[in-house]
Amino acid sequence: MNTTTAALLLLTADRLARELHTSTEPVTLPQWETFDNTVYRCLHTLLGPGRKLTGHDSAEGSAAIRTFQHYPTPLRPAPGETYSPTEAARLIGSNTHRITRDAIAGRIHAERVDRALRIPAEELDHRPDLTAAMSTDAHPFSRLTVAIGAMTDVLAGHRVSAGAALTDDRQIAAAMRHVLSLAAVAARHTLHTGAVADLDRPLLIAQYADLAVDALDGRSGYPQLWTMTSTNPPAWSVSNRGSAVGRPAGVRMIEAVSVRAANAVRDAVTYSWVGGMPVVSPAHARSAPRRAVAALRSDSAPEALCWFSM
Amino acid sequence: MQKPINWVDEAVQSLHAAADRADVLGSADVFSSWAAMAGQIGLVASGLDPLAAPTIRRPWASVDDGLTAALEALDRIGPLDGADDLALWEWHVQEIRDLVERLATLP
Repeated sequence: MNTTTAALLLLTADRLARELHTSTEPVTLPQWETFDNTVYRCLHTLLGPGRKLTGHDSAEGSAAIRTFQHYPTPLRPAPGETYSPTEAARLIGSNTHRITRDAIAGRIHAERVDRALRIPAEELDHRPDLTAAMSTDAHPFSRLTVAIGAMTDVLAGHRVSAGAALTDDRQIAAAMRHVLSLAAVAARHTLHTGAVADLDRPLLIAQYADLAVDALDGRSGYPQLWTMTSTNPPAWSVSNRGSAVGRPAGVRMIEAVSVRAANAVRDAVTYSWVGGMPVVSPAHARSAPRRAVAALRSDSAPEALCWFSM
Repeated sequence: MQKPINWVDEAVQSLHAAADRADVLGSADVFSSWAAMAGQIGLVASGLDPLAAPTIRRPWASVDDGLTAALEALDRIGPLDGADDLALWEWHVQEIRDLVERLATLP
């Protein structure tokens, strides 16, 4: 059994980002899109869902919220988030009037919160094909994506009553700054190695990340990330769909998958740490991880898949 | 007790020395590619530590040696020990070193 922390995973991601420069392997569009989506999910998890400017935010909190709001139109909406018709229109490239009309007519599921329409993320998700990167993919870029995705999963497992995992705005801003500097490096690497036709989005993210790194204050550090631990393998026992006993860190996302998939994962994994990198190896048969991945894929459970990828 | 080595300062000093070397290669010609490179290297050094002035003259034989020494110093800083954007600065230095390698092969 091994224990890791969100800080160690960020450290791993940093090392992998620094090593990118030595890689000449081209980054494909699917690899970039998975990374892009993972970084957005990470920033969203760091900040906490539904966080908006209130007028009473600290300077660091305000900078973090503004930075997140300026993320170029994300490829997938943040999980568990709800959006106003204007925000929804921006996400799917429509207009506010049409979204409002569709919501009122029931063509889009929406809820009334304080008389305002809120549209759940699932209604606006047009890219369910974007799933988590797999640690079985030895490509250095995918390994970086896996490390950031795993850190996000650990953070998600430590949310305080559906808020952010970190409770100090200065630490949120510093951690966001670190993740965005890694995104800037990854985007530059993609611009070097990717196909010209696929570089619009990496260029956009490189430009955004550069500005965001300048806008955020990173001086405080993020000691809270060290306290967010996760144990591998998760020692859960599955009773039925949606319930896991014990709920150790990292199990929450497993709850969303079927018993078949959860059992397949449990049968498949032995975790070890080699040179600071988490390595998953088959526990029983060589085909076990493949069966688990197939089961998770058929469950459309990207977070669980990402966790398993670790 | 021996004072711990400040690796950021080591990197900055190596960068300033590399910039000096590039300036020499530019032969005081402001339109020279080496003079432009000296400016780029100086900018990265100032970005890493705006307050650090070049204090120690490093005997690097070439611009590339200075940049390599700077990269080695940056590599010694743990990912969570230095600035949050250290990976980005390291990328800048690596980019400049690639450019210097190409520039050195030009007639």
